Amino acid sequence: MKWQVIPNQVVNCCLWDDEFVFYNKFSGDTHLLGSMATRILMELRQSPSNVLSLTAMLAPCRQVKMVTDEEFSFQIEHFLNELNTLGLIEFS
Amino acid sequence: MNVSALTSSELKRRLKKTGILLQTGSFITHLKTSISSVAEGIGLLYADYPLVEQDGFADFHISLVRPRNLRRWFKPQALFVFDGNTIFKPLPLDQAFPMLEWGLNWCVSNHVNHCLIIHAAVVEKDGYAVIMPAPPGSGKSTLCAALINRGWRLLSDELALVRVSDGKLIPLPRPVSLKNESIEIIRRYEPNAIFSRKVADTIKGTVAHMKAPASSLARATEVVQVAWIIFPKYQAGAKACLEALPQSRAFMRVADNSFNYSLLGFNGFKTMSSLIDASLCYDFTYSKLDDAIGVFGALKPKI
Amino acid sequence: MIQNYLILQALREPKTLTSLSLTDWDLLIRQARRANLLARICILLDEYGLLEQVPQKPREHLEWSRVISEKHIQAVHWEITQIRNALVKTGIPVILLKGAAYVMAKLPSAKGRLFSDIDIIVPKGSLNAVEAALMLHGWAATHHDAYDQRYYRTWMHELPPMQHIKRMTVIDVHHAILPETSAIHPDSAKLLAAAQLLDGYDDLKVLAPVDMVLHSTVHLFYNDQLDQGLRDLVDIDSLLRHFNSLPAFWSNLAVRARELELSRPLFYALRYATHFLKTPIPAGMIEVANNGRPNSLTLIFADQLFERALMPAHKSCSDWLTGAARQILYIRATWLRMPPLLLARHLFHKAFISPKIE
Repeated sequence: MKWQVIPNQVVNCCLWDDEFVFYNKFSGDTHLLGSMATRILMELRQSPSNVLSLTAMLAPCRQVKMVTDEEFSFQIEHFLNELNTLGLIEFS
Repeated sequence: MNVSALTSSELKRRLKKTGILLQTGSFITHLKTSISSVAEGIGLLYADYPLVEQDGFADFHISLVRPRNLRRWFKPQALFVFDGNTIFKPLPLDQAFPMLEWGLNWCVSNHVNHCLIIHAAVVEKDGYAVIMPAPPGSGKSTLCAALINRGWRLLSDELALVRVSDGKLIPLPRPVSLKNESIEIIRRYEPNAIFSRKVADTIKGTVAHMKAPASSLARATEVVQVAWIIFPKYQAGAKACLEALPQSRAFMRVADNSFNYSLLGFNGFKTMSSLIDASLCYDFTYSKLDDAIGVFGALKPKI
Repeated sequence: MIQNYLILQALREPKTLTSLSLTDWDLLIRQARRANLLARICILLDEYGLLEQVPQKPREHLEWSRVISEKHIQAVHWEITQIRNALVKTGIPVILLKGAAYVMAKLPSAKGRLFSDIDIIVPKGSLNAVEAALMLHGWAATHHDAYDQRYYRTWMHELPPMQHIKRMTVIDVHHAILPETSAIHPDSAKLLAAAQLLDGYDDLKVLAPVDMVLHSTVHLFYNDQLDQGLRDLVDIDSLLRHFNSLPAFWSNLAVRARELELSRPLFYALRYATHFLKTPIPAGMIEVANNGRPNSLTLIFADQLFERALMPAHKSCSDWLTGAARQILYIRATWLRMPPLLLARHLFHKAFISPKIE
């Protein structure tokens, strides 16, 4: 199962340095996405992807080296769910 | 005709009978009151503001009245009335003039939706403006008062009005509100500045208002381009220091200090992102006003 | 007594507003803002292509208010999405009432509307399930006072209003359109049975057109808060003009009013809508509506009261009797909704025991 960016939502975004400010046109809320969530979004913008390949692609960005692969992949999944809740990504 | 053209008794009479149409920035307020401290405050701090002579359109209809209750005999109060409706809880009569100032801010921040309104001081020099958003107690007004006594133009001490259509800042020069120690600091800093009478024990402590410079009032219709967003913070003993702020963080902090960001919806987001894109954003700590003036004087706009 | 207030002129004949003086605009803006109708007038003018002809100052006020209304309407859409999510597992369809229904059904009455809450109606037997599902999704009861809780749960036609803990939005969950205690009982089962699915949804309904009109008349003429009276009358006017094109709308309306025991509020609604807003109503309908006419003495009295209380609560629309009229109508509405002994207890409680928060 792959995730993809919801095309017309990314219009309401500003990318500054490595952080994203995003306006959800449905809720009217504005969200600040940290660097990891932003990276995930950038990857998905290139092409739809799943947790497994995202974990592999983003492994070099792991901030704490102590984290196991399993934990890291769990974190990615958590971010994906957050991005989904915010209405930025969906299953392709 | 300016307010100063009326004698103080004529001003008092008009305020009581018909009310006056007072022009502040681009807004016209119909103001009525029989409270003498308000009339005195208007006569002193609004002397250089235009009065609209012919009957016509007023943006806001306000009056300051003394509620007719038993308290009037032993603990007199003042009430801010917006077109017949009471907006705030009554305050002690002594606080009527500061209440007028707060009420005028309320009128603008609750209605004027062609602008993104930020709780911030705005000053300008050489065609570029600094927005200083800051929560109360950060020393924003003190710094603003110092700057406008050293060559910067006052756009507003409380409300940054960013026009949605083109992102330009609209001036609304009104008296600068100072609190507690700041009052004496600015009196010493600029002995010629004109102040309203100090009012103690308000919700913000002791407050006094400083008259806006006539030169700023004369340019009250000139809109300005923003160049910097600076979050000031007074810190005893600190060296004046600018620290660059990531734009994403600045965005969220300015939005937090905005009255109508969320109300404006997507227009709010667009206006705010253009504003942030056009600005250099900083945190600024300082303790000495002269040092702060130096740092501000050396600011260069984004190319 | 036909009042010639500017606000009525604006609603009846928006086209004539281009000739207003600035002084008139000043007063109109104030009356319309007080009646929560400023954004609506902005949209009416815009639809006629006349907004550009309004002088700059008043035009700014009109446009400021439109910004507020657009935000409210966005928020209503979002809130309804949240309510659907909360109730999806219960399998109970959400039937929207009043403003939320007008917005989702894209009716002209939604134009320029402001919202303080969202009203839905569900079968009485589903109340507990709905309440539980909403609580699970972050809504909490607002009236903590034991008297208020009992007041709602035993006597009212709705749960105590629930507020979302994060968004602070309020939902009113009804099971009927009038309280249990009132003398007439429009049959909720009939209303629910006739409710219609909204285009594009399988879990979202609105009342049938005739029921929607009747509910808005009940809302206006049995409501103890008349401060939104003119806005409510505008709703009725707008619904009637819109549904006028439906086949057999008027005859259905008359039949349904009798069936639901709502001939009286319908009579009043048609009377004041034509009187204040010049709503076009077929002559035959006026005749039929006379079934709901009260006796002449009552009507004279009612006219005096409603002609005052339906106007904006602004000093330019008030005379020395306005305050009394509002007070009398408050007691009347409460009277219609409760038997006398209960009423005495309620008013006593309201007056002396309930803490005043404001």
